[in-house]
Amino acid sequence: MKKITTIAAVIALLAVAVPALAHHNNSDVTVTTTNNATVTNTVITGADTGSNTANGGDAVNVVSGKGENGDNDADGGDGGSITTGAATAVADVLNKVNVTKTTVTADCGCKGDVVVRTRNNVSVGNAVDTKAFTGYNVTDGGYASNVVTGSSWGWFATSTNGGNKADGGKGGEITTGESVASSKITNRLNGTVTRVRR
Amino acid sequence: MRLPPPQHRFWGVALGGVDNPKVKMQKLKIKIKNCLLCVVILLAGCLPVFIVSAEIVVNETNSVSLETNVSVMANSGGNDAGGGGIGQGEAFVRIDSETVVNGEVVESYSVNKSADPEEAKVEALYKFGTTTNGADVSVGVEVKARYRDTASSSNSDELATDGSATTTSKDPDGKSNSFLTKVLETVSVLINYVFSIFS
Repeated sequence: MKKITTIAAVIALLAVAVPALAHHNNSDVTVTTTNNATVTNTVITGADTGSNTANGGDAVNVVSGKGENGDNDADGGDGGSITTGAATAVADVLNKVNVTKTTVTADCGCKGDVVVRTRNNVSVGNAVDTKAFTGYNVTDGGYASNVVTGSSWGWFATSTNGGNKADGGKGGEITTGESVASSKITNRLNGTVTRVRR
Repeated sequence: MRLPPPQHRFWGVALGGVDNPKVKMQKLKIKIKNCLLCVVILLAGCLPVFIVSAEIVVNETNSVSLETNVSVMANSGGNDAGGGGIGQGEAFVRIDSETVVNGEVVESYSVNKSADPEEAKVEALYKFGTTTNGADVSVGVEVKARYRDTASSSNSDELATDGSATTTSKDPDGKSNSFLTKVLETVSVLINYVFSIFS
């Protein structure tokens, strides 16, 4: 009777254990993640409030003839005033590539193997060119000149070609704002977080 | 009515009888105890197998190729007022760069430069590259920052250089190059020695 009881118990337990073993084989979890990324950033940023021109006008007297040709005035204009604001160029590049988060939760109480394979391949090229200008402004005064080509009457008469006046203009005023160029590059590559919870 | 054999009757009387409910209960208890014992033994044998055979394998393979080139320039100068007054604002450049690979900060660089108000021109260049293949890491860093720090200088060739550095952590051909260099140096020494004898 004891033998029969023991055999029955063993059979009963094998009947429980074998499905458990089979269940173990079927409960393996395999996660494979492959990330391939190629990122190329070409950033050109510019701010320009400069290269302004406020020159004064030119004045030219051209006198030709005989007789009284003097007392000519040529006054060039004054340069204007240039005031520029600030030029600010900002480039901000953020590359967040191949950030892999894998969470495996065996909510059935499985005891199988958990295999997580993560492959991250990334190629990143950043080319950032940032420029800011507020300069290269010109406010020159105008040009002034007298061109007198007259001649005298000869020995019997006099001529006056003198007394000519040419005044160039004055330069103006230039006030530029500040010029700021800023570049920020942040690369966060291949961040892998793997969590297995049973 | 047929009576059981005398022995049976005797033992049955001595033990209280086969059909005695107490005897049946005791036998049932023994059976249950045996079964529970077997269950405990088998579970004790199986559970460790489950626990040992359950593995967690995390495999990561990462490769990185990164190249960063940054150029910044600010200019508020180069003005011509023909003798008039000139007031130039500040020229200011800034570079911030950071690279994180696999959660590790492999590069962090920051520069701030401002130009003299009279010259008002400043420039900075920055270059960084890194490659990662599996466990082997090869990092090359080259930093160049140029800025004009004197107001009287007007020649672009006089730009000052600041913060220049080059770092290479691993060169796959380094051994062969060093070996070749040593051989060439040895040959050069021998040639010089021979020439020194005849001269």
